[in-house]
Amino acid sequence: MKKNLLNEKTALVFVIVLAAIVLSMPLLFRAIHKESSLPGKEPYYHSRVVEAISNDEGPGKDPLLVDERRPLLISPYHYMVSYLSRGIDEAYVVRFLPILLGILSAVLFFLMLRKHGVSYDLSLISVIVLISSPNFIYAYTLSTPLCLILFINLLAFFLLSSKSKYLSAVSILLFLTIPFFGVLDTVITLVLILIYAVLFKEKRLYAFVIIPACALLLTFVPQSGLFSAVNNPLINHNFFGRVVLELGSEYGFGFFVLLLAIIGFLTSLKLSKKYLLFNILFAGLIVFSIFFNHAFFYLNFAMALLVAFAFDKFLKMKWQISIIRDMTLFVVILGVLFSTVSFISRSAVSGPDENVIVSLAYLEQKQGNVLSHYSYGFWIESFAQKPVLMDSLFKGYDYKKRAFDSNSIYYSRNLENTKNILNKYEIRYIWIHKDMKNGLVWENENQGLLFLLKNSVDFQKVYNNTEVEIWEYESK
Amino acid sequence: MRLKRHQILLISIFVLVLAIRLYFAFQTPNFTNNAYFNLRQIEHIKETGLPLYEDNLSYGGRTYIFTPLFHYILAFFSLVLPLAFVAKLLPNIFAASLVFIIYLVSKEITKNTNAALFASFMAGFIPVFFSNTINSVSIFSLIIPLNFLVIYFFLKTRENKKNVVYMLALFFTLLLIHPASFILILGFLVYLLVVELENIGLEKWEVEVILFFTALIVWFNLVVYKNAFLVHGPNLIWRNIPPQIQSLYFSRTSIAEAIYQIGVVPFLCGVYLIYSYFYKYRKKNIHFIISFIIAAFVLLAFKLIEPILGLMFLGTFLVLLLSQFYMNFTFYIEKTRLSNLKKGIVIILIAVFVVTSIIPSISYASIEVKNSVTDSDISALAWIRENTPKNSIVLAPLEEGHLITTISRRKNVLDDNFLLIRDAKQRYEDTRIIYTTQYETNAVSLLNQYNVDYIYFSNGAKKAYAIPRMSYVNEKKCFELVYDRDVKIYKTLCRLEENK
Repeated sequence: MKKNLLNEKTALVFVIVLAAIVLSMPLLFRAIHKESSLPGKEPYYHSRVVEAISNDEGPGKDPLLVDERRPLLISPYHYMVSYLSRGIDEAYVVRFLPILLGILSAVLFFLMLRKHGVSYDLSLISVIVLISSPNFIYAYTLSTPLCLILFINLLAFFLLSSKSKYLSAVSILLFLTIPFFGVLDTVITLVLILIYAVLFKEKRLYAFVIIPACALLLTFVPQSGLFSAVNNPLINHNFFGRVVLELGSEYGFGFFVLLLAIIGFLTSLKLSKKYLLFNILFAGLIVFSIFFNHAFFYLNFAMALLVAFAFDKFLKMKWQISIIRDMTLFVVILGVLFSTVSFISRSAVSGPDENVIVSLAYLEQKQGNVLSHYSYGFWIESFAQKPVLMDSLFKGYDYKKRAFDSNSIYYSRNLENTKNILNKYEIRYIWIHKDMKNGLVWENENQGLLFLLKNSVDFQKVYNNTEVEIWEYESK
Repeated sequence: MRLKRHQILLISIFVLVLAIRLYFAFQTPNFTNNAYFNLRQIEHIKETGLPLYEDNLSYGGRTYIFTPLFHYILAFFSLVLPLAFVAKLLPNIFAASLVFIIYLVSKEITKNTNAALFASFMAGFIPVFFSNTINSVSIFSLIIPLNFLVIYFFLKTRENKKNVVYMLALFFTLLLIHPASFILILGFLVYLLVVELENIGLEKWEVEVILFFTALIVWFNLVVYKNAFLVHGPNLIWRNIPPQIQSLYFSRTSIAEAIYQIGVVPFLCGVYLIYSYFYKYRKKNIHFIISFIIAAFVLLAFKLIEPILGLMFLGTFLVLLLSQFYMNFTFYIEKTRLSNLKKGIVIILIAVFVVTSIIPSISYASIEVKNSVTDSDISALAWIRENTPKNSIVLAPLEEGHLITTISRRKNVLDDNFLLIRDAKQRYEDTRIIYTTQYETNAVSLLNQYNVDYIYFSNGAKKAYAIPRMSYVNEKKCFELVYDRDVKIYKTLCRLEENK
């Protein structure tokens, strides 16, 4: 009998330790650079939602978007964080809860694969690939509802697949929480349940209960949505730019992972029928991914298994030149790890640094609306508590109009036009990060608004550090 | 050890090729415009031990992405010899070494010494390769020979698997020099396809090696060009060259011109051979070479590669086919009544080659040397260095951008290294407008936008923009002529402001 690399229990311990190490890395890197703030931008929006819940403001309106009162998007995750923060410092909850959920998700994934007859080696390789995937790291290092929804899905399917009717019944309760996370996650989950029920007849009864119940709930619950992973409507990415991490995708897959997944998919087609489920699931998720980036997070689990198939094939192939075999495997592993390392280092510097926070603290003492690039909106709302013209939540307001007006301000040298738009939104401050001058908005120092800022008496620079400038606008 | 006849001939060909190259290279103390980026990098490595990746002069401040092994090699030799001498000598030695490499590959393909010698002689005078590697400190002078050396060891691996180590070592070296090795990979992949379709017989190790090379080159370029991928996305394939310049590169080269630059004899013989071996005969080695020709042709056809590089590869591969053509042709002649005239016929063939390849090579080389930076340019650039503030920004045409940074040590607005430059297209267009507009206001507005302090107007600018002079610079209020010889340098004085 073939010996496994590690026995099952040791493998589980290994998975836990590996997940803990990988998921802790962004925080560790930030700590090494003496940055205490959370990485990313989206967690800051969720922090405000948690704060609103903790202050008993409930599902109210968000006051920090200029001229609009869009609803706060609340999900069970926010309630969970708020509840846990009563006993534990919220700073620890938002940092460690996603990591804990990530570790548990990795364990659940491994157990699910084993339960469905995937070989030991394949399961272990799949989990290792999953843990090192940028999508997984994103989902389980940032404090967003994504970590909870994925965990609930995994747990629910794990319980559903159990032979115990009691546990399968418990899964129903878990599935019924999904609609509270939003339409997209609900639809994806229901499709997965449908496919599962088609292949496992004994689970059809549960599917007949879960699907209608969730659909019904969806019509009654206030709509939330994991906006972060939806296609950013303001960026016109081509297909490769959306999918391939190295070509600029925020939530996509590494080039080597995609290549290996294709090889794995072709390999799995030749294998036994037990992998048919995964192939169907994979195909279904691919279809979703064409329309919604959010589906990448679900697709990631299937990709991990397919990559494992590819590795397995490489290892079992007979090579004529052994040095080529060794070097090919080495390069492929390096290729997979490259996207991991690259993502972790990007993630570690994605949060606001000291200069940004200090500038926002300055802004907090002022009164008035703020103009900046929409990607900084959540920071300004969270730290400076000031209304912004736009943020990265493209819901509840006419973001296209605002984007148009923002661009008119950024790129025009016509002072009258610019002043009209600034007055329309009662903008008092313009917050400029150095990245905005390095290609995010402008390409050179004298372009559009930058020219006006330097040459018009209506604008005065009131704050300046190495990363940020703040200009005050007062029409004269 | 006595050298054999064919070895003496081979060395003679190498010496002849090198001698002619060096004759042209040393006709001028200067280099062509595009040499100066490499020269600056070599100087920087000599001074600091590291390449210059963060440059505060090019585009007013930017980051370079490139692999520096070629520069390190030249820097190493320039520790004991003057840089200008090394920059003339070494690239020409590298380029001339193609003679030996083509001999080896041809011999491996044809197993015929005369055919191999014939091909090696042809390889010494591929017009596009000859002229573009004489006086430009060109990386291609090393890339092309190394690529063919990899091909040689690939062919040798069929006899002895231990040759794979040399192939790997050379391939790693190629990666560290220039990303042009992707042409090799594409050729290998086409080869897999061709062999499968023709049912010639693919060996497992060939698939393994090719897959490994593919994985390696993809991974390596993802690592090195990571930031460029993030900024440019798939457009990185075209190196962010502005569309106006891309179309200019391709419109300058007609098909007739392309054939002339490859060499008429290799082209015609190559086409005939491709036809023969696709429809009549089957020989794995020939299909191997044809695969690379297909790859180079596809890249050129879809404008995925700059024409000069594509033509260099195409020309060299066609020369390899020429060795097989020579062998087939001489065998054929021997069977006919013209067998007595075989030597005469070969001499005629060589004569045709002299007329269609050697003479064009020499002609193009002369033009390249004439197009080198002139002494008057050097004087003007030196004047800028000595008489302008260190943080000045000097406007020059695209082709002369590197002269401003390398010789004048001043910031430029534009040069031909476009990676990580987001507004390259805009800058190119604005520079063109500044030089060609008739309206002072237009020019001043754009000059203000880029904070230009000086305008460099040389014969190169006249040629680039087809203008005898700049229309508005006589307006002394805004432009002061500070240097007036063959080259004119204007200082900008005016600034546009918004009405307050």
